[in-house]
Amino acid sequence: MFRKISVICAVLLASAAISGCDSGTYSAEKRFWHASKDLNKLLQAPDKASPVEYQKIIDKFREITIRYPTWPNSAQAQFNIGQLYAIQGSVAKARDEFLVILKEHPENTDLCSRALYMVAITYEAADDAPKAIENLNRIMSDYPDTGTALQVPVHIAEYYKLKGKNDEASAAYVTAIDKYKKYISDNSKTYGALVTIDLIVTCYADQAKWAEALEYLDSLVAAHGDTLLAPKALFVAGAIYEQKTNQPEKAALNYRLITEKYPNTPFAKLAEKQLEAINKSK
Amino acid sequence: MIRTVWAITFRMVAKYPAVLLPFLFKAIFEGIVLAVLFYSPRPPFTAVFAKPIKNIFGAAYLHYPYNFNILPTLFYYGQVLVMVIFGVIMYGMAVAMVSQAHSEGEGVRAFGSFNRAARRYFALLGIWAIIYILSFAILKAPTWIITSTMQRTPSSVMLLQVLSYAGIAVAFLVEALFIYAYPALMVERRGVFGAIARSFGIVKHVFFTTILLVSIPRLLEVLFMFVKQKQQGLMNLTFPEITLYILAAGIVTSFITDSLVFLSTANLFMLKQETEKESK
Repeated sequence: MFRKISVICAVLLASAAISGCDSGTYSAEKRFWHASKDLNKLLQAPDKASPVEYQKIIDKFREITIRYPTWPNSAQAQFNIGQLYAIQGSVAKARDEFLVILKEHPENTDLCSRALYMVAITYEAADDAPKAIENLNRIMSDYPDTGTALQVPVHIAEYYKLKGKNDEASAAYVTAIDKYKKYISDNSKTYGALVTIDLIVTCYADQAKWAEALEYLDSLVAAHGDTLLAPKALFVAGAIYEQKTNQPEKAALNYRLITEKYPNTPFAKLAEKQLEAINKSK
Repeated sequence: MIRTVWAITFRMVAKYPAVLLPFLFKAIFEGIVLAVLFYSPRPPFTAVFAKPIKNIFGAAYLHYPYNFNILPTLFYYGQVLVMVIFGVIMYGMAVAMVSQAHSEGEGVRAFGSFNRAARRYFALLGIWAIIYILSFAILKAPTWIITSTMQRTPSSVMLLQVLSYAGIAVAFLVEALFIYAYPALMVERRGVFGAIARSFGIVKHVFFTTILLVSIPRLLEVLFMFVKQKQQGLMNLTFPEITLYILAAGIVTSFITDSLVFLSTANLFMLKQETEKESK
């Protein structure tokens, strides 16, 4: 009887091991976790890693893309392969790997837009401005609703600025600001609008146009007093008064307004902290 | 005296290694439970486990590596289940085998002892349940009282730690008080409460020996408990599968400690019984 029981147990365990050990989502998750752990370790000191170490991690991610092509994170594995080639400086290889995502995972628009962004970066690194801009524009046209698409206008302007093309940069900043203003007014109650405030302020900050930034933030408070945009705009304006225009009293006024008018928003606590800091510095 | 009891126990194990079989079977069953729980996020086990795990703990725990976070909890429930269904019979079987080993000329019969223990299943379960409930209450009560009545301060944390250690000591005491109820039930064929009374009676005469026979091997489990408490940290430091290895090592530890505790106390019970017979 004991022999029969042990045979049954052995068969059960063996079948579990065979059917459950290396198939399906769980195994994909396991491989991805271990590969990501190695990647994070490598990213802590990428210069110290040898090409063999890079290749080992690339192989691990590659195995995931081959074994589990339909697994949702397979696209991320492909993205990581591209990143690893890009870090090594193999930009052409990196580009090819990023473009695979657009071909194999068109449904993953977020990752597709990030892949195109990385392709643009590789062209920027190779000083191929037309190709870089072409890919950046493609993000805005093909994946307009993604977070990456929102970053593109300011990125283009900053790229021109970095390359010393001041006229193109100014025009790009104007385009970016217009785009962002429109986005905020069309989506005033979304998280995206809150993020876009930072982007628009970056555009002004890059050009040191603080007065215009403050004017726009004031207009936001006036137009969107009933949304989270108002406390956010007040807070950002407070930071500009405090750090850029050296007007701590105006900053304190803004912070106080947030704590009084918008006490239940996440900005109220931040404003209180800033107020404390201003009072201490007095 | 404790040395004599252990010497008799080790000699008995050397002469009749079959007395370890009940503990080995229990360890094998626990191993199977651990294996099944380890495979629970994968097919075909997902068909059974996915829904309860999702409802009780959350969907994230069906995914690697989060499944290892709940593996110790799931395995604890699994061990309780093994004890309720099978383990108590194994304890009874071991005690019956010790009694056979003490009988002149009689060999140790595993299957016969299993049958004998299985027939007394509910009584054995009753004794185990009383010990389990008392130990559970002793170990959990300090945490429950302190967390529900006191604010979390350094002194309350320290008090909780002190009470937890005291709880472990009291749990040893509880096990020692009831330990002879198993042999009283199997060898003297008493009822649950008669066996418990008999156990108290024996402990009264060999209190320190019993405490040592129980607590020395159990200290190994306490040490192991500390390792288990660091499981999350170890997992972050090394790899998630370390949880599985820790739990598997726990099965081996239980095999050793259970064997030592039950065989040595059963031997002391038999010696005590023989002394009582001689004095009559």
